Amino acid sequence: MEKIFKKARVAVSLIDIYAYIFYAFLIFFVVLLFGIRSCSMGNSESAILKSNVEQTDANLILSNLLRTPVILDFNNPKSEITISDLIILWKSDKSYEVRLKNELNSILSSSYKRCVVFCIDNTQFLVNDCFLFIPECEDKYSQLIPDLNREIIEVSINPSPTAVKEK
Amino acid sequence: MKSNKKSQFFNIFLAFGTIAILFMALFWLSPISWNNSIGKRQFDIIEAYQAKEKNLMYIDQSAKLAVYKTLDTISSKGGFYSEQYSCGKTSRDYFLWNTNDKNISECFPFVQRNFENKFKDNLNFYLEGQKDLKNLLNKYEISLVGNNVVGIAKAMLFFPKEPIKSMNDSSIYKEYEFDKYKLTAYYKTNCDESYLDHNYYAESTDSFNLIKDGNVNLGNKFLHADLRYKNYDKSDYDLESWTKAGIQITDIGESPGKYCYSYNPNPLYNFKLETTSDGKTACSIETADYAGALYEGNDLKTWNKDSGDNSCADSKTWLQCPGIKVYYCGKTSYDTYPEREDEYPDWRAVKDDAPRIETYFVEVRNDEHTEAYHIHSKTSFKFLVELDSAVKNQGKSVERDNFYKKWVSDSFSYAKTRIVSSGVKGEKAYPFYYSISPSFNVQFDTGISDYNGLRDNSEKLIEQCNGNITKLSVCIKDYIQKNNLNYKSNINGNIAEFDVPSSRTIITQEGNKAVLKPVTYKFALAFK
Repeated sequence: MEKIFKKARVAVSLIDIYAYIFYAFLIFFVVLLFGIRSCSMGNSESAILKSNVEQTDANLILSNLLRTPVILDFNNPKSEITISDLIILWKSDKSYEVRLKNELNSILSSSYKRCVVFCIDNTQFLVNDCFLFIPECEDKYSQLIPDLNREIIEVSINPSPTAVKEK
Repeated sequence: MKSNKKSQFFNIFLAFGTIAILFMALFWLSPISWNNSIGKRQFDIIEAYQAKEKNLMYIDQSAKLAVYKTLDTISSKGGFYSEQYSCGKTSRDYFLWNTNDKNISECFPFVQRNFENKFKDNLNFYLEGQKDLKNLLNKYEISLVGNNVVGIAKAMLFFPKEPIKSMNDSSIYKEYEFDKYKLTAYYKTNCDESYLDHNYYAESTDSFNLIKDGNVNLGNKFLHADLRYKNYDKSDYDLESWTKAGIQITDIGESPGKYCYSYNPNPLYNFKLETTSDGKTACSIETADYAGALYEGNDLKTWNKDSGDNSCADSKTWLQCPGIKVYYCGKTSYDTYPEREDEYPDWRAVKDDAPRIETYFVEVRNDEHTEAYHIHSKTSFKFLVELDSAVKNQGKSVERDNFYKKWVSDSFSYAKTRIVSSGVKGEKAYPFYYSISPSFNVQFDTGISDYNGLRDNSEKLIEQCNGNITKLSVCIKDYIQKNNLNYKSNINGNIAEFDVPSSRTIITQEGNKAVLKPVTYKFALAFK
């Protein structure tokens, strides 16, 4: 009787072992399946994610940039305007160009390490080294601001692609 | 034993159950996670949030420019924004804070109220430039709180796009080829009374936003010609609350007591349709063959009310631009009783069979031609506006009546509004909307409190220098020096004009140029 019980116990434990092995293989197989499928989608997904994150960043940087205060006359603290005001002044008086360029350089170079094209309508201001980047104005990250006569000024930034950044 | 058998079944069931669950998960999850980008909804929310931020940025900038413009206007007008409520001004346009008859307490401006009113006008001017913000026009409650200008919005903004109700009430979201259309009626009035022999031309014009308060603005539109003048201002004319007429008072009469008769008042010889998108002209067309062409006496033909079709859409005269068609639906007119001129406005309808109308036109009452009386005629031109996506090009149809032919006067009751399908460029259904109340807060010292100081000094100046007219210049100079003020004064007789620059700088327009300059308060004081 005892022998019979022993055999039965061994048989039962063997079935258990087979089941566990099968179970482990199954999990491995499914994980593999998930992995293969996610790999095939992963590259495009991560590219979309990266682009979305960059877009969010660029819009935020542009919006903050336009609100950045600038003191035009250091002897008069009440002469504080913003970059958007400086753009309005620059539109009708190009003598503000040097000041505008300096402000854009100091603000944008702290956010981007590589080339950034800052555009006011179709006029480009290049910040950082743009050797590997063909500068173009894109309206993907843009903001409209009115000038004194309600003419709409389109301001945009076009940072160089991440690939170029990482070189 | 029984329990051992059960445990074997349990293991087998667990294995197969897991297989089933994992495969189900594999296939059920795939359309959710792989057919849509990861985080798409989250990024949609961020996108909506950014669209909101962009509009708020535009509003903030508009509010700031409106503050600049308002400060510039009211400081140059002594705290007033219109001549109407002031005690007059000098020949160099310095507004008086007192006169020989009135003291400062009677003439001093309500600066805060004036600022708020003018600011609202200016803000609307800027918001009109942005199509997503047009429904905010006139919907702000403006107040000055400390150094801040606060605007509380009474309307909501929707992002990514405002839901627009179409005319047939189906809730779809549309984008139109243009955001504004403008109608202009060019009409003519003869004033060929024998000794004046004077004809002149005028125009009425009005712009209509395509989308206003969530409704598409079309159907019957009117332009009004009403020749009634404000007595005191040559360049202005009374709009009679809703009319527009563009005749300069200097065009009428040559000397006091002269007047002219009118023949067939206000024949419409030309009308023009213009569409604009984002402030730029998208299309412009007029019935005249070339801009400015005058068709002497040739009145534009309208629809045939005897045809049995009660719609103006069979009008002989229409203009179209891509996405819009406008029919001319005739005019109606009233004139005043010349014999009851003192009781005007008291209108009578001009009948179809009326003879030539020979009532007073406008009579010049004083030497400076600044005072003119008598409403001559009030004419309304009616147009039927349809949005039609099938209209791809600009085009026109023009027919004209003989000058002396009787004119349709009561056509309006027949013409029905007809709505055609809307001019849709693109439709996009968004999964959600982000709505905000786009209130703003501009931190800018408006300098309203400066006026208290200016008033105090003005009162002291008047007290000190009154009765000292011969040495007015010296007296004012003394006061300025003693009190260490940065006033610049210019004296002309008993009137002193003052320029007081402040340290606040604003961006303002000088000619075609935007310049940064200090706010300068300008006002004048009268001395006895």
